[in-house]
Amino acid sequence: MQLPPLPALPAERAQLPTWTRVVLLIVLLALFLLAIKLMGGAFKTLGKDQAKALFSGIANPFAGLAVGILATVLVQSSSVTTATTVALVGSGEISIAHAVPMIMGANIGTSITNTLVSMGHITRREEFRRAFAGATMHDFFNLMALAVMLPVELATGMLEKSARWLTTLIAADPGAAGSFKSPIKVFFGGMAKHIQKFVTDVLGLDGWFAAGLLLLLALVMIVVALLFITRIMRTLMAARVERALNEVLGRRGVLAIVIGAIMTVAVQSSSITTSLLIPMIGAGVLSLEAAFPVTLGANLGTTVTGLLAALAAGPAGLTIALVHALFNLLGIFLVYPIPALRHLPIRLAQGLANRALENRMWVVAYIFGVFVLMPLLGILLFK
Amino acid sequence: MFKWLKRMDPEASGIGEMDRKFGRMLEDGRHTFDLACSAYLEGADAKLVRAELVKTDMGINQLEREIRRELIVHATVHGASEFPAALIMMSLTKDAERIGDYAKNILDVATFRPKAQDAPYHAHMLDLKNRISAALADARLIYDSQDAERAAAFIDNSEILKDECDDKIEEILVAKGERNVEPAEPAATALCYRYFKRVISHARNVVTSLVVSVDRLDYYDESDETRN
Repeated sequence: MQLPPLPALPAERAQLPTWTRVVLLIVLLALFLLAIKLMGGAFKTLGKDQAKALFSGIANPFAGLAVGILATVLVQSSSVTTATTVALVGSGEISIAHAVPMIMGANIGTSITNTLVSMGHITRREEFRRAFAGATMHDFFNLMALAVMLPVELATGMLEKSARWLTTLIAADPGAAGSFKSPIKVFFGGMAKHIQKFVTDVLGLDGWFAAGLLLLLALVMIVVALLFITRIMRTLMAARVERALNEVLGRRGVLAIVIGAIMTVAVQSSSITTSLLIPMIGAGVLSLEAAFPVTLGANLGTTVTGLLAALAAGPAGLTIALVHALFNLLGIFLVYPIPALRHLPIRLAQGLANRALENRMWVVAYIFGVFVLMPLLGILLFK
Repeated sequence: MFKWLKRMDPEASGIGEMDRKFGRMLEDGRHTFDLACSAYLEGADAKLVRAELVKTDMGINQLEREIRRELIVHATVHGASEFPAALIMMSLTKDAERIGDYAKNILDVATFRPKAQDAPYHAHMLDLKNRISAALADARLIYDSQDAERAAAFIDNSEILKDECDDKIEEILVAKGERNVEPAEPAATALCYRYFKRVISHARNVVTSLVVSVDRLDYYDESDETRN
């Protein structure tokens, strides 16, 4: 709609042309892949023993889970946590088995974002009831999937074994580090080595200082790259996302899962997908039952970031990225087809929202308990 | 599945899609107005007309609800920069929806007073109806073209039509029994003039959205001094 009397807002005037956005996107993707290689290399400057000592804390799966939750809550992005984990596994600093709980923790941690978004409705009772339930049903689903699959994984290693088998089909033996020489990995590996040499030879740093600087640089690069990739993709895909959300209003089931997954791949953030649902749920135009499969799709779509990171991380990195994808896929297959199980996260979320309406302390206790206290205790008790 | 992918075309989304639905609301509103007037002024069977009118009006209401839902999605995705457009669309759909409601009111009058063709104001009402119906068609075209000059001309014309309705209502209300008519007949005529006036006012509100800011929607004729 054109509105002649209304001046364009500054943000609208500053919009970049599409081709510039696409070029920026490619540059940011390159920065992201370089950061993945750089992070793996950062620990190599430490030496094997020191690196092993650094990650000994996550040998306990509950500590690994807690680290995954807390790291994701702190950076407000599961993509950063999973990409970092893929980089560490790819470089051999962490074993696949130790990384699995961290990846599961990232799934839990990422759902804090839409819970915080639902707080925006807190002054309007009914809106808040719907919005808070809409946000927490995602949490409850993730917690249910974790409660079922973490013990199974610890007992059988089912996800790891399946992912290893898939890796051998796609690339190479995940145990044989470096056997798969993708041109992307070789290119960014060369660039990362130049940066490492600059830090060690030109700046004269070594040991912890060199590793710390490289690690910090890699983390900043990952966060910046993912932040801007998400922003650009959101602008580029706004019209498609809007259309997808309009489709979701009238649909349930498998197609809504597919829409959620595609939207998340398009904007490269499950938090954006699930957070966009909250105002619609709050306004009452989107039911919890219709929104639920979209959040499941978002869980699946977000695993693409890990797979992208695996392009620069090698076979072991690909394996842990596949574990993430299998974990979310299996979660959907376990919960969604059975109506009683499918409705459980929704009912639990509605119950919590009703209590939150009676007493706002439930909101504080829930957020603090699940996203801060639980992971902190996990780290303190099991490290 | 493929149908769904086709609908994912970004060109077929957002405000553009809502504009298309809004255009259909205006077209259907005009259709309900013509239907109601055919019963009141041209002797069409009110029962038959009612079935078609109610069906069309329900379609208008459905479109309004769809637009409201899509506006929430639009504002959620695009954020603050799209709020003015969303607020305007919210207001305009209400105007378009009201046209159908007034058409139902006209039909109610036609149901109770089926012999308007014999009434003294019939010729004037028929002429006025034709001009309002044409104005409703224009409102849609002007809205689509976003032409501010044509909008200004439309607003001037709508003032003339509204004044004509007011004059006739006043004429009927101050009449001192010169004619030998039953009391319900002038009441029905005055009511219909009043409904005609409301229909053209709602069409004018739609067109004024092209030339005024959000806060002045529906208050085009109030002077700037009243603004805070």
